[in-house]
Amino acid sequence: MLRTTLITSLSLFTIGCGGEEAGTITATVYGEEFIEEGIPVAAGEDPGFSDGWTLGFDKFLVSIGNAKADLRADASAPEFYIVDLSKASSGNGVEITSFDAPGGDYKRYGYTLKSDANATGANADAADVTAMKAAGYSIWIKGTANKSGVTKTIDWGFKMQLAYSNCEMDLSVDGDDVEMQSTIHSDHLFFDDATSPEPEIAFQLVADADGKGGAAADGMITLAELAATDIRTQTRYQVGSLRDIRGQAITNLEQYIQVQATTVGHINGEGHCADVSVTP
Amino acid sequence: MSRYLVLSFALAACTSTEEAARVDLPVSTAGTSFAPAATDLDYQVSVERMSVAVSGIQFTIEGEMHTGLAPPGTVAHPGHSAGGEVTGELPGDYVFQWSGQTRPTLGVATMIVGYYLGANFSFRTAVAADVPAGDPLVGHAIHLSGTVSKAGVSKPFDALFDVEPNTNVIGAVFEDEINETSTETLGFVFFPTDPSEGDTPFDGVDFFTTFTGASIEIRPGSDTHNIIRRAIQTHDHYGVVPQ
Repeated sequence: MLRTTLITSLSLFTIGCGGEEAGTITATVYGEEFIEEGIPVAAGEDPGFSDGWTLGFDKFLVSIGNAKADLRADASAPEFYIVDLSKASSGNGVEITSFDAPGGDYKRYGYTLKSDANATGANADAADVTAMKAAGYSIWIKGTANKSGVTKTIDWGFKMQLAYSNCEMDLSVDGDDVEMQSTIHSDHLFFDDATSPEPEIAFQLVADADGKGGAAADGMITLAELAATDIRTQTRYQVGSLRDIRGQAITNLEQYIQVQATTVGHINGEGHCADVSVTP
Repeated sequence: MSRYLVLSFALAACTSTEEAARVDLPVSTAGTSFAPAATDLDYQVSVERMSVAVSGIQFTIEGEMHTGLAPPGTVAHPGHSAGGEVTGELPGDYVFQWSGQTRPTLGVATMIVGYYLGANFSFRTAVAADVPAGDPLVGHAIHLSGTVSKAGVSKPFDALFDVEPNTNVIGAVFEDEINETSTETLGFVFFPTDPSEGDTPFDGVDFFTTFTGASIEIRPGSDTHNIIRRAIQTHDHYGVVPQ
């Protein structure tokens, strides 16, 4: 009687664990229409630049990897891949890897953007893969903005390491494959307020940086010109108590955009990652 | 007998639902005067009166932004409560007022016992019901007045600041162990000089070059307003002291 009771008790706990079968998790990354098709002028309910600019990305490269579900070593893929999110994907994003995962419920996901010497190209051009690794970039953006016949170009490489964790997951693996999409929101780079829940997307202050700090006003907006753009007198571009990636007070546009770059990582579209650890 | 063994296993797996001990503590603004703030351009700014319209006062465990717990450069995603777990609160709208005199209690906060390390609040726009008739704070979030001095010259200043709705101060300095027998008043303070880094909200403002008249009037929309507002709305300049 006692043995039967003990077996029954253990069975109750096993049923509580679900009994799902092992499967796989496929990791993808997607930049959405804003990266693949460009950021348009805002029109009615359709989001875009509030100040009349448009921006097309010639390249939007990320070095992404270290996918992990529920912080489990047996549900992870440590490798890194270089993806050009500006290339059309028919709305599916780019698959970077697929890894085994024990059966059961998963609540949290994580991934990292960082330069990795062993990263392989997923869909990026070979020359871009080489250049990304040589420069140590985690994110590399090249684009062209236009407004009323005026053209500005950007070529920004970011080296900081961004480890996103506690990303909303809430999926089950039961002998099947589930997809987790790391979604990159490019518009965050151009938010005009770092703390407002509803910032505008704006480019004018970036455009006005051309020629700042003694640089030539040549239509190319460099990170140095952004650094020479003081935002302290701006009514917008508020940062609250935020600090830059090195813990310093945010006083210029380069610091501001770098902080905004730390917020581009999302999950499955609009899902949030509760934490991001930033290494300069 | 065996049925009871199974039941006891099940019960053992249940989480305890015992409620944490709580205590009610008064909240006010500390009555001390402000020491003059020395700016990076060698001005001495003496704040004599300050009013701040706030809401949603919270107290947190393990939430002070200047602790060494977070690795340098760690950034919390916007929206994530970087200020720790909220275990004490005083809901509602209030006005912090500092004038060197003891102020009436703002309200009574309900606090779960524990070791507190931070406080949060939100700025809001003051309405007529918040302050006496004629108070310049109405329609604004922050009002400061005092004196600016440099090289033997002094000018009175009066400043009004508008802050975006629901701009939050997260992680104001607050360190206190609260237990069931605590009775202290939690007094909010403003630091004209950041006690951690020594900077002031008035850094970068060349007062006497910008304001050539007999007095200094800072109003929303001006560059001076924007420069000072950017710093004065950060957690660096606010704290709570047990009194």
